Amino acid sequence: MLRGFGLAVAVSVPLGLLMGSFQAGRAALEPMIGLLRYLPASAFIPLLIIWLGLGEPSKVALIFIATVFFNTLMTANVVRTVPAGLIDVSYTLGARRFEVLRKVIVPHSLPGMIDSIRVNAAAAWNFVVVAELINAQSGLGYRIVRSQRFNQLDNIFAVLIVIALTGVAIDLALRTTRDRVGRWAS
Amino acid sequence: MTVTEGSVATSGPGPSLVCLDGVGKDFRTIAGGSLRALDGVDLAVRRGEFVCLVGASGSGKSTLLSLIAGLSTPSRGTVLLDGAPVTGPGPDRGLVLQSGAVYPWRTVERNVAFGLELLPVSRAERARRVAWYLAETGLTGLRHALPKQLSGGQRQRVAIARALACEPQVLLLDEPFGALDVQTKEDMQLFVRRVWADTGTTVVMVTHDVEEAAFLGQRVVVLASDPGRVAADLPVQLPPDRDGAPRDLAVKRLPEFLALRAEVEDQVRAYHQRHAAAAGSDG
Repeated sequence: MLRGFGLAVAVSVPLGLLMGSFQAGRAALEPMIGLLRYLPASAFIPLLIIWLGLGEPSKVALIFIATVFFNTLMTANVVRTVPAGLIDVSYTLGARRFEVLRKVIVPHSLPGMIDSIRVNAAAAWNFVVVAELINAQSGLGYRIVRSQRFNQLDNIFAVLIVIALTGVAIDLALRTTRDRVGRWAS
Repeated sequence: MTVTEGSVATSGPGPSLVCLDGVGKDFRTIAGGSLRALDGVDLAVRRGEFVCLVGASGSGKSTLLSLIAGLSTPSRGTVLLDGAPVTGPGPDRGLVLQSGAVYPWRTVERNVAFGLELLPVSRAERARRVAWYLAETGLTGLRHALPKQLSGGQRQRVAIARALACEPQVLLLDEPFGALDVQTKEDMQLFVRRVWADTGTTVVMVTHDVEEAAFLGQRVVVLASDPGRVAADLPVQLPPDRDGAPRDLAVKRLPEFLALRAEVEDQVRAYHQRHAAAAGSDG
């Protein structure tokens, strides 16, 4: 999960910044990403198993596909909420394009970016389990499938509780980070 | 058409710092047409002068300011700063907006330092200048505060200090006190007048408040609407200016002030009504 989602964040944040800040970036990326976003990630599972086999790489790829497009579009939306006046004034204070991006757009968007990461982390976590349900020899999803075979319902519930608690923990960690970073927001 | 057109360029000392010559600006409308926001604007602002631009909404006064700031380019005519054409925004022209547009994640001190961080000035010089402008704007005690902890007037002081810290040739104020209550607004008027006197910076201020324009400006330029153009250019001659004493709010009760204010109001109203009548017959 960490690798797949980490990779998705690493790709989607710069893409989102590009789309949100520059008209050209938006024109180039939005149609494609808007389309790709509608392809259900679970539909890629057979392809990924054929290409990458049963194992870690295909799970990483699935989580990446499931989150990268959403996070790009959400990041771009956050970036677009930077007030035009703030950007104009920055130019009159001598900032060039790259400096406006680095010193104005990024810090203003940071809390919102973490928010969209929070939302998509939940999706990533769902897909971890989906991935393991289908192709894994270990992990939480694998345990559910195995428990089903042996009719161990109590096991399934135990796993569900673990999944929920882990999800809450991830959310809490991200929310704390967001509140810390966005302390300046009223 | 311009009341004192001939006298603008010749009266007073020094060459003009900001010079607009036959400036026009068109905007494309959504329908594909073209909207004439400004047309044939001639305006000269001398170094050290305080000029107020007034006009009803739609007279293109903010557009005019953004042309001087270099945030947009004129469709016709030229905009010169100190004899050189304006090609883009830069720290030699400080801009303050009605919204203030301070950086909410930066403390007061770091807001003021923003422009200096981008200039080739040493850390020590930056600290010195920030401290000076914080003191000048009465913000020293608030230097570690975040913008969300400030009042509207304090935020505008931050925006003004931030623009001044780059030591611009001209300070452009776009309805800076439009969102403030009356008392705060009067405090800010005295404040900006004092800062102008202390720093000697040239100020071009856009406002729709006629009283504010007459109180602050050495000249009040009235813009007519549709398309925006210079309708009148009125010199402000009030007693405290002649005596050299700092102007205070009592000026606003003097007969000379009231007469000037009435004259400016009449000008603004005349062009507004003509515009409104034309708009009415169109629709």
